[in-house]
Amino acid sequence: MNTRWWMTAVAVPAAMLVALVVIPLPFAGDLPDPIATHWGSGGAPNGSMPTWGLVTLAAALFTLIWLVSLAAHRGGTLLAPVAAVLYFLGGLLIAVMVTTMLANRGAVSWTDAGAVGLGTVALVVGVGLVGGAIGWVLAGGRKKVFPEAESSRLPSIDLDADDVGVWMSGGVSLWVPILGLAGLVAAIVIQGGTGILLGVIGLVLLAVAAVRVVVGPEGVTIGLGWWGWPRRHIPLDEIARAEVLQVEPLSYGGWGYRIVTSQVLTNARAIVVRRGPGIRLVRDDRPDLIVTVDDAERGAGLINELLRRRGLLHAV
Amino acid sequence: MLLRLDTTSDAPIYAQIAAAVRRAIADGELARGDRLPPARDLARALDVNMHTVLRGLAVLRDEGTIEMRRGRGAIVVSDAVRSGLKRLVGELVAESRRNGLKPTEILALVEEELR
Repeated sequence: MNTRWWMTAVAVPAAMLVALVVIPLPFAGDLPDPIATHWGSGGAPNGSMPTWGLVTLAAALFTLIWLVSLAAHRGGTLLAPVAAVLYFLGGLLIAVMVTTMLANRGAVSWTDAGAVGLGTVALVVGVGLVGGAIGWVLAGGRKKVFPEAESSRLPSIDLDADDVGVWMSGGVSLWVPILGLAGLVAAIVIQGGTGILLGVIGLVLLAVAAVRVVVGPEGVTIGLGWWGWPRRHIPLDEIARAEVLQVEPLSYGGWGYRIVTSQVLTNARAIVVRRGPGIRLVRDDRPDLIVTVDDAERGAGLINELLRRRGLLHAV
Repeated sequence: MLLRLDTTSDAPIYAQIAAAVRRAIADGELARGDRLPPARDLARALDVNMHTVLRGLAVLRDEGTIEMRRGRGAIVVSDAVRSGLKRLVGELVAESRRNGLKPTEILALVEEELR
């Protein structure tokens, strides 16, 4: 985990959470109990809550979205849109907390609290938007990561000349299988055509939710889905070299089996099940094949070692 | 997960496959609870008959290294190979230290034995 990760995903959200809890403290002696927490369209307070209730609610909401953001990360950074939403919420809640405290300060009962009009609402949303922009920038904006960034490097592996290596790994998506299973459940619960359609969609989602890759002296086998089928075998002599790259699904047009034709990746097929490291099989006269898989460094290294032994390795 | 098969070995292929799994456990490549690749995938990667792979896995199952469950594949259930070796190395290091050997001297002893 790098500095950017600690900064964007841990330090700043933690500071926001602390701020939410701490803001009411300086106002403690000046607040009614309960405090006004909701205002009508005319600007007069029309709802109340104990101060600790408001703090708990805000902190719980923020923590929930924080945890979801952490779960949605891949490859050691928060996606810029995720960071933007989290920081927007943080800024918004802090602004809500401050304006609520200011409106309630000095009131004897919550019904005496100051008015809150559209101007304040606009201010609160404005603070949220500023927070969102900060999150977007801190997370590095939307980066398009293309393989050329790392293509000059040829991964290698430490393997004795007497040893034959077999490497196996996989790539698993975090969210897609949940959706896929939901589709299957829906197929059981919902009768008729809709249920069947949802079931088929669920199966398709499960198929793109995982991938399994086996590398051995006979070549590379890629199996789709939890069941590893359909599978595809690529003999070693079709491969020129293997590289490691960071796959950003948004740059590939999304998840699943992608035909990639961008300026830098002129002709490639990609099996994208998640964000993060993948292996790129560079092939002469055929489209490159990219697959998102864990431990990609050693997998690509073994492919290159096997190619080297057979005299098939073509470096750049 | 990386399995390494020693091509200089004279042992039959099924025994080499079993040895490769033990070796992976010994050097920490595989830990308890890890799942082995499906026999079919292993056979394809090594270009051997699937029954040869299954025979190797049966050896590992009979010695209590893996468990095989229908539909779930083979799972490593014992890392006795690794823990046994670690214990012996621990004893070697402790005994050497007690006798005043420096780390490089301990390594030299091990290297001498490996020749």
